[in-house]
Amino acid sequence: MAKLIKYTQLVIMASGLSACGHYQYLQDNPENTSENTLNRYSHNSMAILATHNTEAIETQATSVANDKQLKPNPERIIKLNKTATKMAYPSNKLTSHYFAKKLPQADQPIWDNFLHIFTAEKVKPWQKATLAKATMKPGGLNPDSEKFNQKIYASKESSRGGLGVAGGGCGCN
Amino acid sequence: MKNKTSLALLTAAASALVQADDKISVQYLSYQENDKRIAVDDYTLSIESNPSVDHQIKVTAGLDTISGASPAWQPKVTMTTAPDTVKAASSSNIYGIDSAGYSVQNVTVPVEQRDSAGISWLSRDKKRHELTIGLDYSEEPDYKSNAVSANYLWFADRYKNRSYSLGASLQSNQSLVFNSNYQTHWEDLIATNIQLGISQIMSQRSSIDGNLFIVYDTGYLSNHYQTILRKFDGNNDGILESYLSAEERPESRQGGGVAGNWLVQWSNTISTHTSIRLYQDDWGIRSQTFNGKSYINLDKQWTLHLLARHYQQSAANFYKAPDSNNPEFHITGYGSSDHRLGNYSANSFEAGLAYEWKNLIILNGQLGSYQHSTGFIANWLSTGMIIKY
Repeated sequence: MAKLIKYTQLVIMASGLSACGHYQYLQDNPENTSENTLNRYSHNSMAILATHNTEAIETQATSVANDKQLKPNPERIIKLNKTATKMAYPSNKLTSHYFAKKLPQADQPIWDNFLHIFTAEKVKPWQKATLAKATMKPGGLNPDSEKFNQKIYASKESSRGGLGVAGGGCGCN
Repeated sequence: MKNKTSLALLTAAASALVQADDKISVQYLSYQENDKRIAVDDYTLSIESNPSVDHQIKVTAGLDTISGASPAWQPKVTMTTAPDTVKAASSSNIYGIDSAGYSVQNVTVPVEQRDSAGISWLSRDKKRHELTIGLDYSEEPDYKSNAVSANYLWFADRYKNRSYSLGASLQSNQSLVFNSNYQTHWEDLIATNIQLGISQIMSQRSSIDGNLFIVYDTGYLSNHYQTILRKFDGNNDGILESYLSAEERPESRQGGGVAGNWLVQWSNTISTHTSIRLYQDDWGIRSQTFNGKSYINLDKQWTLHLLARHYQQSAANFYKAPDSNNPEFHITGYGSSDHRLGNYSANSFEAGLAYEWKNLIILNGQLGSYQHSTGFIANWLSTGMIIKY
């Protein structure tokens, strides 16, 4: 019985990975709903898993297990999580070459970024894990604190504009 | 059939993954200018909720108190009322004349509390294009503001690497200003802002964005706390006297410029934001802003952030510095001695630390400093907490 549950969980998790990828694909291509695309875009799910934390994956696995009236087993979930991580960042020699091109590499020369001022890569949705970090958003890690700074500058300088259109007025200037 | 069921079931599960965190943020700022000038305590509370992947609502509330003093021309000894002929000749309020002369003094401003509130609603359509609508309100004893804004962002390619945006805002403000006899009345001013933007992902670790913007202000744009000196021969004795007057700015301002931002994740632990803004308006003000910010992940919990900013602007064509050889204006025409309309540069530095606990709570603290080439200095400390739920 325990083996059956384990097998079922693995099947559900694998389907989940597939669905995550297909979900993202449907966001990009709402007109294409063919199930054949599941296989083509199943690697999307790996990147999605790579971009989200352990708690999110555990939540998903727990949710799926509940839907199937299965008792979630924390140890099993951790194992599944490790499996998912391995799938997202495979160490297998046959696949590592492919993923080396697709995933951000820490040892990539930093000066390569200067080239990107003039040329834009086609970055796929599942390659945007780094770009999705809070520190890579215009407002930064703490947008509310950034607003304090803008308020100080606005009250002491005579220029305005270029920082978005939202926000109210202030008598400080 | 089995695949379809799994797909429906797990697409719902997947949606939970791509949905952003709901957050509550509480932030505090303590700001102090040198020479015992303005001091501000500012508190903000914001709540961000994502009821689904297609909607985001953000509500903010703020409360700040301002106290201290602001520099302006004041009589050295005692001011007497100006003759009616002078008042009639001037285009702005004439407060009076002091035969002993005038000096720039810190004028104590009343302690004021400003209450503000705002709400923004972001919705996404089937193609993930975003429409954001915002409403903002603020009130202080001598200033009221109501603002409405809208911004539409649309993606230009299937991978969503490039997007365009068009936004506009309209502020309807009211300012309580002095008459010549120091009685007050409300004046209106309207501020509009239009911005056309583009954002492009350049690589898996970098993106750039830029925008063109136009601002247009109309109504009472002067600062009623600011004073100037006007020269006029009120006695017809062939000698020009100096009269203390309210500053007078044009009743409209048109400006615009370009801004750009380059974000790069140089390594797993270091990212930078580099930005530039060029601005020009029909008051004669031209400015350049250069901003560099970096985030350094010290470990999984601690993040250090450093900021350096340089700003430079030219003076408005109706500005005269109080310490110039000839600080007085003609009896008519625009005039201001507010140093914020002058020619100066400013440098700002900030260092901060953020501590993230279990991806649930972020504690942050920053120390900042801001210095004008005119000698003005301001320092601040801000701290806060973000709770994800």
